[in-house]
Amino acid sequence: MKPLLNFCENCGSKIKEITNFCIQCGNPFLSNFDKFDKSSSSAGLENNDIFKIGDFRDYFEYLINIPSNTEIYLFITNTSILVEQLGEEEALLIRSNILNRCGIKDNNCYLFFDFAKDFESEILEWKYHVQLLNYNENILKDRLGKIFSGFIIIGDNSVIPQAIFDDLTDTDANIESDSVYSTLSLHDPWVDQSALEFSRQVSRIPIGNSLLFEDIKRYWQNRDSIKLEDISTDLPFALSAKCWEDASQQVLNEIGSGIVKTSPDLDHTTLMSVWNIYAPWHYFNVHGSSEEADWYGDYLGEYPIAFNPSLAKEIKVLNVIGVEACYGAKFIGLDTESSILIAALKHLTVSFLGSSKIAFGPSTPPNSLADVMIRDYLSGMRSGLTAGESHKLAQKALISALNDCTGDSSLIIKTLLSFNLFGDPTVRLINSNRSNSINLDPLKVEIIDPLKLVRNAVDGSMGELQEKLQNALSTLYPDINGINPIISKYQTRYGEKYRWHWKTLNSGIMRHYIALTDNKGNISDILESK
Amino acid sequence: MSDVKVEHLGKIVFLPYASGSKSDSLRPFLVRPDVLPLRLHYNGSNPFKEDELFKCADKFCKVIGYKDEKQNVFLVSSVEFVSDGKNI
Repeated sequence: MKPLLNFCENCGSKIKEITNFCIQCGNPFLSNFDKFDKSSSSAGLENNDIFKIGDFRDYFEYLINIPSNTEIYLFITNTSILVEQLGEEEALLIRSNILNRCGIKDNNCYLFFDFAKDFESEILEWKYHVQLLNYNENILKDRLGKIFSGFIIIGDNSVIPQAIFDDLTDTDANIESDSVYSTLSLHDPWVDQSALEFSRQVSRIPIGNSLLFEDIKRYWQNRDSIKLEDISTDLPFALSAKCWEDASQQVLNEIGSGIVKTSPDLDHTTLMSVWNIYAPWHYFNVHGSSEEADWYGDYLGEYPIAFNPSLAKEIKVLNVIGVEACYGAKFIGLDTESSILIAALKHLTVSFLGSSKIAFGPSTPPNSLADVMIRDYLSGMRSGLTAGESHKLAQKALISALNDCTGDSSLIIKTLLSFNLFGDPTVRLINSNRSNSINLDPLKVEIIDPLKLVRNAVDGSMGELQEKLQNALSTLYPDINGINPIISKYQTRYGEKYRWHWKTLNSGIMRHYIALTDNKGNISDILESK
Repeated sequence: MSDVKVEHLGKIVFLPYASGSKSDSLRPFLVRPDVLPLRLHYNGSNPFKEDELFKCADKFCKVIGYKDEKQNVFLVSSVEFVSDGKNI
């Protein structure tokens, strides 16, 4: 490893080139990190201490002694890049903070892996990181017969890169995703199902330009102060764009009942009058954008600011946030003023799930896509699962929909890739015994669809529309002849829209054709996979 | 994001954006001959309303700002009408 000081500590000579020893006196260089590791190890290795001395590969042989039912979580970072980003002192503090969390706790074993040892400060693409984690996991598998239960990414996108995938829905240029650290697959999730096997929990604490050592220190203090028996059993708080009220109410019924608050009825100036800032669970189904920090309501052409970064600091208790908004979990290059995620993690939020890109979901039940992702995450956490387990539960529900062909596959895949988890994946806010004893609000909201008869009638005429569309499109795309499309319905402010999705398989190549129409079959857009 | 402020001339029109998604809305684009429409956002404004650019809808304008290559959007810091599209 490169020395981090500019002078030899033995003879004082200036270090001009990168070597492992001083060219004047022969003194071997230890980086400050190595010295930290050494001083820690000389303090006496008892019980957990062995896990606190540095990179877990240095003490692989000790892992054989951990109890067989222990789940293994790996902190991953790159300290060389942290040094470049934050300076040596700050990076050392962060590293020491991570190492202090290593060891066996609550049936979990936390280990540390530093990409700096292999990649130094080179910023390599995500595939190299996945390959190296795969390599290490294979050693773990050989010796212990188990895989990592999860990865806790410490650092922003320049420390540990997110994967960047094409967006076959054509709504974004690409999709940034941490999902590759869950699948440890190098394949393309759009064509290879193995790239959608989410076997490991993955969560990120995006330390870097916006979150500093003091923030991560405070985050862990918050996380460690959770007393499962003391967490408020208050109902979840839900804020929805009014145009998606019915779908949001259905989600809230599943999470724990109560009545969804809506915007434009409320905006960021009036929200405080009804917002339960003592609730530990917060659900948002609002608009977001790539350009501005705020989240917006929506109804009949009104788009008021419903929520902003400063409101994230108003919550008075340790909390969990699930948000369906487009770009709801954006963080790259942003700070507390420009990212609600960053503002929330700096305050009292211990877990946050949201999308890096444009999200999809229906306006009315049944819930699908982003609704399902956030519903199952929040209901999992409300039932006593950890954040990582809850996220996996949500991913599993969407994979089931994909396998059962009960939704538009490209939209499901985009949802799976774009929703990323933040905070500690092993955090839980309530234990399962206590969650069973929570009395839910007897006021259950039944969602009545006044247009059900009309909708059924429209559904009934789908066959006719399908024939019309198929005839119109088959001259352009002969592949779709004889293939039944998956049809999904969306409510937009221009009225109801239909998405017709044909999947064809020719010579092993899957192609997607998507047509967007109104309820009369008039085509507004045609998309095809590249 | 590019650090260099640039200007473009073209006609501002509101077009469907992200159809079928949670961002389904009309957004402003700068339409110019022989190039793809460039999505616009006026810095600091509500992206779902774009009040500043809405005033310029269907008019020939000069927009000054930065291109956010990653999000493929031109972030407008100022906009002004030009008399007609003859010089575009």
